[in-house]
Amino acid sequence: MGGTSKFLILRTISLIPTIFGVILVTFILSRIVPGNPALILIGPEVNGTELKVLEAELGLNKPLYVQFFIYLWQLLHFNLGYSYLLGQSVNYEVALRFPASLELGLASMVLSLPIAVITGVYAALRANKAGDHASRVLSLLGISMPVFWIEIVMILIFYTYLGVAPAPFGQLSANLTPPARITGMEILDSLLELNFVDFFNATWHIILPAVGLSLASIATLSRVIRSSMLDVLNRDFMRTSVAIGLPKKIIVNKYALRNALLPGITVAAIQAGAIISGVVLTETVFSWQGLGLFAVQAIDQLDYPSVMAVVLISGLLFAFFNFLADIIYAWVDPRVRL
Amino acid sequence: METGINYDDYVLYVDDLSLEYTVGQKRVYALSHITFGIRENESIGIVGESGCGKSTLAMAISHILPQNTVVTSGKVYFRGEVIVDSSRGASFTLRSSRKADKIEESLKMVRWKGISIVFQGALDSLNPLFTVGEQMSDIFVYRENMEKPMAEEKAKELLKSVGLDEWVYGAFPHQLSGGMKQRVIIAMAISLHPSLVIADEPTTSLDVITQYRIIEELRKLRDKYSVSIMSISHDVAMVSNLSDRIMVMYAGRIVEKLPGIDFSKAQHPYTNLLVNSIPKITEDIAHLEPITGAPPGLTEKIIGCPFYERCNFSAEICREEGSEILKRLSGSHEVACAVLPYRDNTAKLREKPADPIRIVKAVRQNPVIVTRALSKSFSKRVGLRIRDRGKSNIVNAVVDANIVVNQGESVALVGETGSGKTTISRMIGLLEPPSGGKVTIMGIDVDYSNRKQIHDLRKSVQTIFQDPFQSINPRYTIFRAIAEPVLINKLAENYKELEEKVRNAMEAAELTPVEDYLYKYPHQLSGGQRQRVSIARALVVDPKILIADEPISMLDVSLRAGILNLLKKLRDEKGVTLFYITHDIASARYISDRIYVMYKGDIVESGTTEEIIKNPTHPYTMALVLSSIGVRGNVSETLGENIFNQDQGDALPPCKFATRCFLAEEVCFQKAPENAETGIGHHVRCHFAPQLGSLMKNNTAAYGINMEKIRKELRNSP
Repeated sequence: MGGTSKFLILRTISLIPTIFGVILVTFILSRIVPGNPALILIGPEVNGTELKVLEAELGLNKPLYVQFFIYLWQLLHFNLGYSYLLGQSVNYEVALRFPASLELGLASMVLSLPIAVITGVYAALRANKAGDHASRVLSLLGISMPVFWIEIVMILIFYTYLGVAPAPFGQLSANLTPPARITGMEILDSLLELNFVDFFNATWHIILPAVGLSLASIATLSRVIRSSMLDVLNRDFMRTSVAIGLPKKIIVNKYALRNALLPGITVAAIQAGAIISGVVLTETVFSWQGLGLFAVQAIDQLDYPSVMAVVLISGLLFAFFNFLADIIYAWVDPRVRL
Repeated sequence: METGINYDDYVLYVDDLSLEYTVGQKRVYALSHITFGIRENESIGIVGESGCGKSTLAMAISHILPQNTVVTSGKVYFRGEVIVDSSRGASFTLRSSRKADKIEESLKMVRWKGISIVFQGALDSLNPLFTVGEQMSDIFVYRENMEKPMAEEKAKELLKSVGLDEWVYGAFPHQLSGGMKQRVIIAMAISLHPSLVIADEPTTSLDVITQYRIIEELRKLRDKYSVSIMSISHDVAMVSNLSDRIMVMYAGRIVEKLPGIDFSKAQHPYTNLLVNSIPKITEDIAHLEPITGAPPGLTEKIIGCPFYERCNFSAEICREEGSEILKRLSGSHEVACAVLPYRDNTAKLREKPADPIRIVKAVRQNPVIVTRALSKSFSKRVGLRIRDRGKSNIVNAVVDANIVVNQGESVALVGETGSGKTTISRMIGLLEPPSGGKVTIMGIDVDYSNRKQIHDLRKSVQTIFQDPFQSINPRYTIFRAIAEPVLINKLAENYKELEEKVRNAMEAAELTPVEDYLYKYPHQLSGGQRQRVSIARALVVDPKILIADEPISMLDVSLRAGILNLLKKLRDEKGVTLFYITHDIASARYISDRIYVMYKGDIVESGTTEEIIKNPTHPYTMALVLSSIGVRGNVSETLGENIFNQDQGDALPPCKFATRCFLAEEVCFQKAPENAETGIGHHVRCHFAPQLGSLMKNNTAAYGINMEKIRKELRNSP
């Protein structure tokens, strides 16, 4: 269909202003935060000329728009800047830590999407019965409890008391040699290396943080799927399908579910944002060596280039997930691709 | 309950069926003691207002009611087998349980293979996310275990059999027009050769001519597959067009079973009132009799006749138990009326002496609305989108419309969906500026950019909208809603004056006693009452011109007459000029002095109501009149197959109707027709207007329009 490719092209083009906006906001945020980066670097006991020199070196004495274009120019060359505090280019740190966060985020999404859909559909089919009420209560718990608190309780139960979970320190037990770095995601790398010891160990380590991170999303999403499924079940075309005598499986899993998923797609994209922010907390709780932990440390030390990099990456990821959601939406719903 | 019935004789036999459902804590007695049978290849029609239980009955028979329903008495037999009773219920669940699965298993041969159902298709009966083809072929794949390619073949064959092109197979429902969707659903309904097809409001919300096509399609289906049809509608004409006999439902009961389709034989007061409350195109009716009150809520068990409260003939005996039971009158004519034996039938129901019919000559009096070459075009482009090269992105909704409405006159603008009639009403109603031409209201040339002028004029021109459910702010009390225009225009000095104005407007709109309504909220009122609130809100500023955009199309049949009568009264007693927009030419006949007919943005015919109805001259008007007469004949036989050819895309020939016209000749595809006067004040936009005009003059019985004769005579005339 010509309309489909047109839709794809236009949606992709509309990503450009979004990305530009994310960059602009990131830049402005870093400049309106009080505190002089040069002063932080050099320490308080310093004389004026030395500060001026450093400011000039960092480019802080140039007009704001010039600074912005320099920043933009750097980004165009995939250069996230240089962190004086770390004595490293930010690129290096991000490359090192991003895969771990991605692994955690993806694991929690892989966990949350199917579980949310299944529990949502289950609750809808059993609307106002015991199973539905149970799922409602659990959802409320999932939504109302802070991620870090749930995770601490989970550590307490599964590590401290039951001893079935690994110690909440990092992605791999300390006595194991990590797999060679290919993608940076340890589960994937160990699998590529056919190092099953590492693979199972890494999987064992990711279960608790991934579950903790996904609970809130599961709760929100399953509620959305439940209510949209209930709406769909009352639509006229469902009556038609029933009267036709199609098998229940087909009615639910094909005709109803696809309709019920539509609002779920949009909400899932928004939940991706919740997962991104949840990653920061989860990584802190589990000492997970990812971008979130990096961000916390960078904020602590007022390491501007690093903070900006993390904010930018989160923003872009969120934009990307919404872009993806739009594409999937259009793929599911023919009325959108015009 | 009759004894000695051989259920095998019937395709379907409903025996004493009663059904209740619970909503929250409330129990609703939806169906009470329904008994009837449908024989092989028989077609019965069920009429009634909304809420009378007719759709519940259809869904009970199809076993697709929601879970909150309980069968409290009776059985439904399909070919002698019980399909619905108190232990099996009439509902469906997608949850699996041993009992539900067992019932489902036993219904395997009934669902779609025995009984299929055609829902009101223009709305929501097809799944929006799957192609028409997939939904159709899935029936064969999952019900007949057919291989996909073969199922596809079958589906395409079916589409062809209802006159749809092959591209429809790959189309999504939103790409089809209402009529096309309805034909898809009909094709689906016959896919597994059922013995009974239930048609639940199959023509509602379709255009008149399309309605006629659907009826023809259903009739064809009945002959071709010899199925039985049970059609359900509030539209008396449609049902009688399709059926052999009629049943009338009221408050969950059957109140009358007619032996045939002749409503003049009807004996139940409700049936008579129902039929008499509908404007008919074939009769000069000076006064329609609305049914007063509203149907009972069914949350309490009614003892005695459910129509008691609204009936002109009710007596004490009606309140006794047993008066609601159907009694045989003669042969197969059954009526549930206790006073019938004592009633003077010659008095009938029309006690009021008929008002003289108002005949208005088309003389120029005092024009209050004049439009000159009024046009409106819309750009199809929305948001960020690449233009389609070569394709026009402009839609001409209205082209060069010239309309004159005189003081105190009522003028109707008739057309189908997409004809541009609402666009015209919005321009005259000062809600939207035109893109070309001029509107003059009460001698003032409207300048749409002059906000002060528009503001002042709006006091004289008020619009009543179609949807009474959405045109009133749900958070306002009725008082506040009606007071709104007064407040905006600062027409009241103080609260007392405001209240007086509101009360007067409410009285004029027959919202009486006023105290009952003042502090209610819209959701506490019925549709008819809400429409009266809209009317009161328009009247409160004492307008000279009232624009009514389909004011009755969303109301229940029994309420329509009341609103039409009110509008008429406002015109006659208050001298309000009425501009009435409708798709229903029969109601236009009842209420208007003159009629404009629109087709795809053009005004194709205009004249006095008398002229338009009796001598329709433009072929499109002929089609409209013929379809709304709803006689048992084929519109397509009279006006040619092309008349249904409405899904033709954007590219229209110079005469926009040419592709559907039985008279179309080369000239129609070469140049646009001019407006020609065929009689005093009778204008027709057709190349053959002069000849047709003189032909139709001699053809006093317009309803006997004969295509062949007209064609022949046209050829003979110079």
